[in-house]
Amino acid sequence: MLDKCPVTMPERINVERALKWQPYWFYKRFEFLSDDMGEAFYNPFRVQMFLYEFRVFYPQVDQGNYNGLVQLELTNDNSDLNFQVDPTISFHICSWGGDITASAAPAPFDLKALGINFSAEKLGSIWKFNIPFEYNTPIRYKISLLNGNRPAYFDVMALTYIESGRI
Amino acid sequence: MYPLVDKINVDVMLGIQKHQWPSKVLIEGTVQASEQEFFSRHISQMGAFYCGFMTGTFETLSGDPIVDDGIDHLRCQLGDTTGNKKIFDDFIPLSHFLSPGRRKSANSTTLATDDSSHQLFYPIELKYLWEKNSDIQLEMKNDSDTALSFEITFHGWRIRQKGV
Repeated sequence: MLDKCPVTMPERINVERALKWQPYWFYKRFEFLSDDMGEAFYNPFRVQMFLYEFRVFYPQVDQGNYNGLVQLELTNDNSDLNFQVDPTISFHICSWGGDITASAAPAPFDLKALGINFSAEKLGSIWKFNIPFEYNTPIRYKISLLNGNRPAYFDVMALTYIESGRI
Repeated sequence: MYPLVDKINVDVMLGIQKHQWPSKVLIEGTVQASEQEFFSRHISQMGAFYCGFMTGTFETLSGDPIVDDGIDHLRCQLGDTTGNKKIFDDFIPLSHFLSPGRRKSANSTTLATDDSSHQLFYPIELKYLWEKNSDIQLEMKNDSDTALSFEITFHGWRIRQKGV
């Protein structure tokens, strides 16, 4: 989908095509009250959205010497499109940016090797996807703290694209 | 395109550049203490602006006397005035999508001992086309008791449209 977005010179940018896709960023901060938290972003539009990137942030604790591991699970209820992610799949993530302290390096994450029909690639500590989800269906995420000190909160961002012309 | 591998066709590139060329749009300002304010930049009649990436910096000040506490007190919601579109569903801390991010501020009373500005330059992808005569709009919230400045640059391409 996004491969069709013309972004670099010297390609000619097609205005109509560029107008078709619009980014939409979800954001949520939640207190991390236990070592296992689950939340979801719901598609509020009556058109298909595509999950493009998913990021998790957490603040420094223990004077920045945070050594805990965070586990993240992403699932999608939309089984009609056969893009359901096995909820047993999880991967380790790094924090990124601002006053965030880096944690352990991400573990290898290859969904294709697991037979799942979409691609994911790691860019720094940002995970890229191309997962469609329909109106009122969620992208669920579950964060588990495996060890280390518990941060006060987590910030989660899901970067999506929607077909803007149909909103 | 890789200039040392691919042959550059000057005539083709010049032809394209008549209609589109690299451009940057800067939005900067100061959000007063504990206030919520709008900042915008008009995309002129000249043509559309296709954004590819964002970079930016901001201050992290608070208190009396003013000190740099390193905490991101600024949050923003990005939008397009055409159709009143929101691109962020909520107010997102600037530290989550801007690099270099925090910078030192001359307004700090402890400037000499403040941490150096964050140097990581990591443009964040934001592919969005603002049509001509639209506005890039930022709604900013400042949770600090001190006025805070920010600068955000949108890196992209200006596209001359038909009839212009």
